[in-house]
Amino acid sequence: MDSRLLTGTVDMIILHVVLPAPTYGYEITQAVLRRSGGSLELKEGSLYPALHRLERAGLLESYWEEPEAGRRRKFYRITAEGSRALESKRKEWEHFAVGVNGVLGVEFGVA
Amino acid sequence: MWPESHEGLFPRHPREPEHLRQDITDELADHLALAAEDERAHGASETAAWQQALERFGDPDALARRLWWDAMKEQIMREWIQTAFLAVMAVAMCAFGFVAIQQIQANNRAMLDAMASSNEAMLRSLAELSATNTQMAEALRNNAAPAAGALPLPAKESLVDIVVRRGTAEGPPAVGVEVSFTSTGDESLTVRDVTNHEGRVSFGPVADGAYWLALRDPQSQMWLEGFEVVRFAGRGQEEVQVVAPDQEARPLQCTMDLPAVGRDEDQFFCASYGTFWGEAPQRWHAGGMIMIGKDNSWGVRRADPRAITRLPIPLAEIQTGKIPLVVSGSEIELSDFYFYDVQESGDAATAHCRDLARMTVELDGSWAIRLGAPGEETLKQYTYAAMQKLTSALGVQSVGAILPSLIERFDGFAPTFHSEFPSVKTGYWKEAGGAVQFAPFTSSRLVVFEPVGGGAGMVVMDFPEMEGQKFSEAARYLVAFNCKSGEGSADRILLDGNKNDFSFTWNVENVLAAYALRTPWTADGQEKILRFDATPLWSAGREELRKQVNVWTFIDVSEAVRAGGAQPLHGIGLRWQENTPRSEVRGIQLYSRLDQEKSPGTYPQFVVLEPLEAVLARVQSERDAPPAATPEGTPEVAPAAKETTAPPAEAAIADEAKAEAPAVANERVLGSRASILPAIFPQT
Repeated sequence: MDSRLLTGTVDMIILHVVLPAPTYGYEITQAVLRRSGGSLELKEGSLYPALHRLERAGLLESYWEEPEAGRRRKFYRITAEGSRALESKRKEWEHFAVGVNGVLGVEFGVA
Repeated sequence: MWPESHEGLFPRHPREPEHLRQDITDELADHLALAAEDERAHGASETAAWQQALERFGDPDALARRLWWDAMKEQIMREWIQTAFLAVMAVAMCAFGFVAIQQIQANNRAMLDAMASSNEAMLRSLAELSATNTQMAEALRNNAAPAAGALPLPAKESLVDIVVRRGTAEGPPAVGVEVSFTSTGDESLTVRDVTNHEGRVSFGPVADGAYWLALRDPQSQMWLEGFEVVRFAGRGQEEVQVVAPDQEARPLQCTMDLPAVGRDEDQFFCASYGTFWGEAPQRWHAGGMIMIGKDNSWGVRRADPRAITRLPIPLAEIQTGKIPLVVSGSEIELSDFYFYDVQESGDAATAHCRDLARMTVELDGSWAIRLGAPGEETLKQYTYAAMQKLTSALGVQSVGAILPSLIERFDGFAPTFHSEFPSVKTGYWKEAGGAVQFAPFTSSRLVVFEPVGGGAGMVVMDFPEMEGQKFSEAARYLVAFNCKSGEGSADRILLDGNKNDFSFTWNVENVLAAYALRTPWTADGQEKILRFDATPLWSAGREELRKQVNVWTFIDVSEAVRAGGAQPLHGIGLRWQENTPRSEVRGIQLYSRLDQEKSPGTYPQFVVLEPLEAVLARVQSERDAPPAATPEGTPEVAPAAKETTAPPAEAAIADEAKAEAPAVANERVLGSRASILPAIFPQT
């Protein structure tokens, strides 16, 4: 898949993945890969800049879990503002997808 | 494992968050480790797992640097902007400084050029002036009087002739009149001359501008001062006409009966007078002195108005009634005493020496008074802008009303020398059942001095005995006021003790003097003294006066009142009716409450000043009548007053002095005034 199709949807995808429960970067990449049936691979070079940007924008907040032995891990969770932003982005995407599908004559699913 | 080291991984920045680097690398390292674990879970070896994880991840170093930059770029950009702004400002300041320096240098060059031009012009003017002076000197050498047009007058100069005639503008020439011509801008530029046989004096050339012209006429012994002459450019020669008095100085004498004041060395006579001739602006002045000799004669002489004086003269030292006045074998230099703007009539008064220290003059006046015996060191000199009144706090008998008649009638005048002492009914207002009632009190002594002209007055009185008040026992000589009302002003001085403290309201435009006399103030069995600056003045004797001439004072009685306990004190205030003839009622008011101050004009007068004739008649009738019973609740008359039925004045004074405290006794030795006053004040 052309990675440019993913451009503009990364933030929405990340917020959606983080929405149910706090998670961390590697798990986000695996969740996207798994939920897309292997068709979408969120590269680390796009994921982490997006996570940090969303954190600075206040849509995500982070915390560190530091086990007594082992590596520190940074978790992200969505904020209330992030939830509202996700809902807005989701509506924009649906509107966009309906339009594109209408042009392409696709009613359901993937053409 | 990644990263092998942080060194060289990130740029360095002084304001970087402390844990930023560690957080970035820990997060990315955790990601790589998880990916490697996944690879191992799928059967890859340790090395292969890391290798495959890194291949999928890409360049972790580059990503770490990008994340660091994303976190720091806002801070770094802001610093870049600030640095750039400062650099631009520095450049701008340098440019501005350079331009300013250039401008200052240009201005300095222009100023130097202008100064050089001005200097050249001044040199040319000096050369012209030198040439003119040379021509004038040549003309003088040739014994040729300068005439209009004979010498080339500078464009801004002119010649001035003063022509003085006697009586009228068509009268004969006034010869020998002394004329001075003074620049109003610079009094040091004065020229003087005497009128010739034509009554003429010539000045010039003089520069354009305003000048004061002053003349002194030896024939009439009058002066004309300070009328302005303005010279305009290009007038050439001008003539100013002046009319001098056509009368000669005449001697003026009269006799008088001195009041029954003790003619000892402590008694002084103070007087002055002046007169006018002509109309403004050419109004001639003359003035003179008045003196008293042992033969009770007055001597009046016209004199230089600059020498007109109010001279306190010790009567006992006057050796002759003629001029020059000799005191203690030494001739008095009247020129030492100055008064200006003398009125046609003056005041005269006798005063005890200690009262001289309390003599006051109006603040807005223009005259001087020297306090002190002739021949002695001047104790104090006041100089103001206009002579108005001579006042004193106590023991002064005004004879000012005599002098206008004296001036008018010249000869044959033999007035009786006494002033119209008023009498006073005293009392105060007090609260009773919510109403304010009048309550009389007895006063053993009260003196009112009222200078000629009205508008000012002064009263000295014993503080009244008031029922239930702690100060009722020995309060005497409370206060002497002298105030002058002004249009629209509440003319009063108020002492109020409503809150166990006195407050003073000086709502008079001109407070000429205010004195609280030494007042025994009893509180808790101890005498308290009202404290105020002028208190020491009541110490008699010249040496004391020399130290304590300080007539402008205000009263501070708070200390005494605080010592007086919680009893509310009644206030005392004065209210003078302006423009009221002396023969009519004048009044003094007392206030019992501060809130009554708001509308003092609504309070009736209860202190009535009566004409002398009425007073004397009433006093005589009271002396003839048996003593009246003392009203219930009204304090009795002081013992000294009771005993004053009709004794000789001096005896009464002595008796009273013995009965009083030292400070009080000092005040009693004031002459007949003190002796009759106790009888004047009835117990009402």
